[in-house]
Amino acid sequence: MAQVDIKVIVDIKGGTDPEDVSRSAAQMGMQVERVIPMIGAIYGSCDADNICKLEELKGVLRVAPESHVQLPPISPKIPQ
Amino acid sequence: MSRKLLDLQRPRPTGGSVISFHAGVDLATQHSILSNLAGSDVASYVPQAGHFPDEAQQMGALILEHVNIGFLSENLGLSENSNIRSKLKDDERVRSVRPEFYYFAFETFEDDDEKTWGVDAVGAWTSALTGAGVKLAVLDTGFDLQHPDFTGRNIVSESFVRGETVQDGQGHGTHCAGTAAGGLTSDGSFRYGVAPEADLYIGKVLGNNGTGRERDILTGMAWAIEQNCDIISMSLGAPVREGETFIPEYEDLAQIALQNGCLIIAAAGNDSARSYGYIAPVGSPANAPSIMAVAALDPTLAVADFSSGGINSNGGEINIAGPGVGVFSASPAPQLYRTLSGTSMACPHVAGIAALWAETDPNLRGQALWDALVQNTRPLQDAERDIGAGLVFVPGVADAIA
Repeated sequence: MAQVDIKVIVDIKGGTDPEDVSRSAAQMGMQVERVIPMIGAIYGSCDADNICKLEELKGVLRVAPESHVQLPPISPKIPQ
Repeated sequence: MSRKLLDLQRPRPTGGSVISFHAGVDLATQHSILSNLAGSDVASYVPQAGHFPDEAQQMGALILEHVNIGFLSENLGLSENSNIRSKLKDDERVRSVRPEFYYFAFETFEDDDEKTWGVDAVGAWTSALTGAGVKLAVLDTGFDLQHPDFTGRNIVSESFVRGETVQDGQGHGTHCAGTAAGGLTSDGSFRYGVAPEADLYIGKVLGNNGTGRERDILTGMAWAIEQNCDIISMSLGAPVREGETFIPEYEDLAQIALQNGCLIIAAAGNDSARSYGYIAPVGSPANAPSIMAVAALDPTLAVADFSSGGINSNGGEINIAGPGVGVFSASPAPQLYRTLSGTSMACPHVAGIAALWAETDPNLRGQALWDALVQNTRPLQDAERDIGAGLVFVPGVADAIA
């Protein structure tokens, strides 16, 4: 199964500890790479099939794909 | 823009009038129409290089042959011109009639032997402010820490990209940091940076291949906030579709930044092709409502062809504009300098000017700094959709104008 880069957003305003959710997510197979407590975001990757299970974790607001940015080739002819 | 500034920039009438005749109205009829209203002194000329003959100055009306355009002289007086225009409006042989206005050459900036056009256009060249004491973060591809123009500068840096040091292996980050917080070339002869004494914080959030993950960018933003940076400049982004909204995590962090006295400024994006009539929406993360979105201007201070516009609402608006075409700045060694274009180049001009504003008043932080920037722009011709409040500008000048 293909691994997808995801973010798990937890309800920090409701008192959920991102670290607690991070541990639970890891037990469910998510490869947790980064936790940003300031906004309650957990970043990592998991099988696409696991996304629904992660959404059911207590205190999880949503699970979404991680976005990326890509600069163009650096060139005076290409807007940067 | 204030009413006074608008009044000062109102087009100036010459006192004369311009008449456009419908195609098919022959020259003799055009003569007849104008001579009946303006008297017998009507002359016609074939358009050609050079000015009208001297005797044309004495005529009550002139006609340009073959192009169906006539002029009423300002010598007839304002009242008589107005009377004649009223009569011509009901003449079905006349396509349009209006007052004549003076036209002026567009102001065009260019690099000279001392400074870039961007440093000049935003007023930094004539300002005594330097950004001293202001913490300015640039989140990008890193920085050339050995660049000779930055020798002796206190630079705090951190890489958030797996397996890569802060050293800029791409060049984009060094260029942007150079514009925002660089100064003179190492020989002291040429200025390209806006806030040369700002405390520079470099967060590498894009890899040397120019790619960035959301987790690295957000972590870099959180780092800069925790470092108590006053300003974060982010010349990065991804395109969004029409109607697409912002990514909530960027907005959450930007709100936290504002609450902590930190203003985040981001490039709007380069996906427009305005010469073909296409205006792309402001990209992400500049489309987050609490992030200031920057459009790019060319040296005539017109919006750049590629510059994204305020197509989407709820954060998708352009907030301000900066120089973003043909921008000379630093590049990693051995090249040392290069000239690039893009909203990525406009963004650090705004960040640098924000540092100059922050230097003037310790209370100008966060939302107050945002307000000061957009309330003290230089007004331009393009629509708010394209340039927001206008060209970012140094402190002091707007007060002097008012």
